[in-house]
Amino acid sequence: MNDVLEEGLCRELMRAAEAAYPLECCGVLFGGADGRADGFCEAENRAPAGSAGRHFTIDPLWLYRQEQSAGKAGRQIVGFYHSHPDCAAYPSDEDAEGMIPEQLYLILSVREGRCVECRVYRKMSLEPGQVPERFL
Amino acid sequence: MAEYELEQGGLRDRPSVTAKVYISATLRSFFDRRTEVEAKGHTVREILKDLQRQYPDGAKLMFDENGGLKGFIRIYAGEEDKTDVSLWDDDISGASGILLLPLVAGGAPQEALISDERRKAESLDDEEVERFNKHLLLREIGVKGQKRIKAARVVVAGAGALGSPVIQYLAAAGVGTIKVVDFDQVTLGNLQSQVIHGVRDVKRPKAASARDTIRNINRKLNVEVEQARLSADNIRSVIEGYDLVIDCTDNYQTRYLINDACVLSGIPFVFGAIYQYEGMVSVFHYRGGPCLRCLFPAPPAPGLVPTCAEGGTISPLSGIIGSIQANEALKLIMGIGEHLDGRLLRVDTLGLHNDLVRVEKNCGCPVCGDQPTITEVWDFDYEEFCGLKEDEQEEPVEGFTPEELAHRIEANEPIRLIDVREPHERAILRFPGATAIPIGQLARRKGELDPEQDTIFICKEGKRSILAIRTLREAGYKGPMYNLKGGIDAMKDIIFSNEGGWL
Repeated sequence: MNDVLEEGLCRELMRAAEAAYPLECCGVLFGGADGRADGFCEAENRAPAGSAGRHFTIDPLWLYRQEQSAGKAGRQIVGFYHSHPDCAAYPSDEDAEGMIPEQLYLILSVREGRCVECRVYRKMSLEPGQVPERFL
Repeated sequence: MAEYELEQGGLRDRPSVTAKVYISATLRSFFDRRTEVEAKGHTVREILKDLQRQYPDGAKLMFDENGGLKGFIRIYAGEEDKTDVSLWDDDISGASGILLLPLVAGGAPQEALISDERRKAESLDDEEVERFNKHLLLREIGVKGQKRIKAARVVVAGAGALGSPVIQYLAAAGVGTIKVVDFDQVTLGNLQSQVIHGVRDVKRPKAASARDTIRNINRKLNVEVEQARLSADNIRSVIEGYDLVIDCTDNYQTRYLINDACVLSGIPFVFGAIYQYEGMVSVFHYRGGPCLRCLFPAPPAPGLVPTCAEGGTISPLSGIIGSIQANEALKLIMGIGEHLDGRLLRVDTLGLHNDLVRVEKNCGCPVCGDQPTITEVWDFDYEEFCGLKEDEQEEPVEGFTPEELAHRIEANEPIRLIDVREPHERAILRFPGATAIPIGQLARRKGELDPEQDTIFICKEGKRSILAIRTLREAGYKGPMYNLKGGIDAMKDIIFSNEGGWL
């Protein structure tokens, strides 16, 4: 389908986002050596109490363990995903500030319980003020 | 910097220690693709400094322009989070492992009417920082929100009861460009609810009076004034290029005109309406949401609903409803909080009830539905629609001017007067010698009329009385019927000068 996402992955992620609605879901995207995402693992949303409808946080130590086990299986983390309940699928200022360059950031827009859009962004360099580029 | 740091390490007089730092897979490309790197130091501060020295790309990743650690970098010693700067001098040389990990977090963007680009083009000077301090203190607003307000361009249609609070609060909040549209002049009766005008403004254009009030609040705002009646010919050009329209009008014709023009121009609008003690507020045509025609496909049946001018309103009601409209407008501009799109807020100030009614988008809506039939703005002729206007096809209604009627009454001619107004209207102003039959009861009570006698029908403005005559004709009444042109409003100077008819 394209060179960033395995076919079918987007559909699975959309279902996960709908299941989490009205809260944000989040997780990591796995891929092989070519950097193309072909799997995911959902993380617990560790956003502060009461704010999970508009925010997400992935526990760094959970991420560390995911990296370790992925590495053993010869796979790697190629990016992250999260959903925007009742909001468009573009990175907020907060999203953009925290983006690690070269990682894929997949954002899903869920409106009234139905996932309506899925977009992928990537920041290309470390230069301050870099605007994330839309890939998909 | 590196030398200073090494020197400082030496001063502490501790044996140099090399820590092994695990680099998250997601950050490795900034550390020569290494899984683990070595850094000299006993503390987080020392280790970070050594990493900064060894890996310039890593330094760029971890530190911002001011040398602070970026928000998404986390340093763990074993399972312990050592990211906070207060922990940077703890000795961690005994830790089982040091981890450099990203904190992946984010949030849904707030969808603001004013884009980030336009927001970034604005700046606030010292005076504005002082003036809008109370906004800047609010977490949801802050400098970003205030800049959005400053960049906003808003049209307020109507500088009357609802327009008064809307215009004043938008000006006070610092909306950069406010356009006021009103064709009317201030009257003494307006001052009961239209608090933007004062007694000195009576007989002045409302738009000019509103402009003066805005200038008194903040001279820096860009005020545009349009002293014109909104019509199909001008509405598109009046609202084109603006971010938001606030409907503060008081008649169905203009409301439908604003709705259709806003939908066709792709501009959302904040709707507000008041009647007696009750008001409603909603946001229409916001990001594909429902419009006024989805909620009310057509105006209410003729004669059933008196306009605000006929029905009256309690003085603070327009302040309450208009303030909610202004509040909704600011929230839309900044993209904060919940919005009233797809919902109608109803406020009853007499019984103190509020409720929120869901407004569904109608896919068959003639203007915003799937197959719209209204593709350009046309003057929705409400009077014709409601049968208030004389139709060429229809038999015309004869009428008397107030002077003619006064002569007939003085000459003691055998005429019958029927007042078709509602009881509460009659309580304000009684028409001497008239029989009261509210318009809704006329057809049923036509037996009370005498077909041999000239009968004159009276209402407030001479419109419902035409409708009354038509209704009786349809009901088969054959007697001679006349309308009082201009209604009791036009007659009161003649007949009540010595009658004491006022309550």
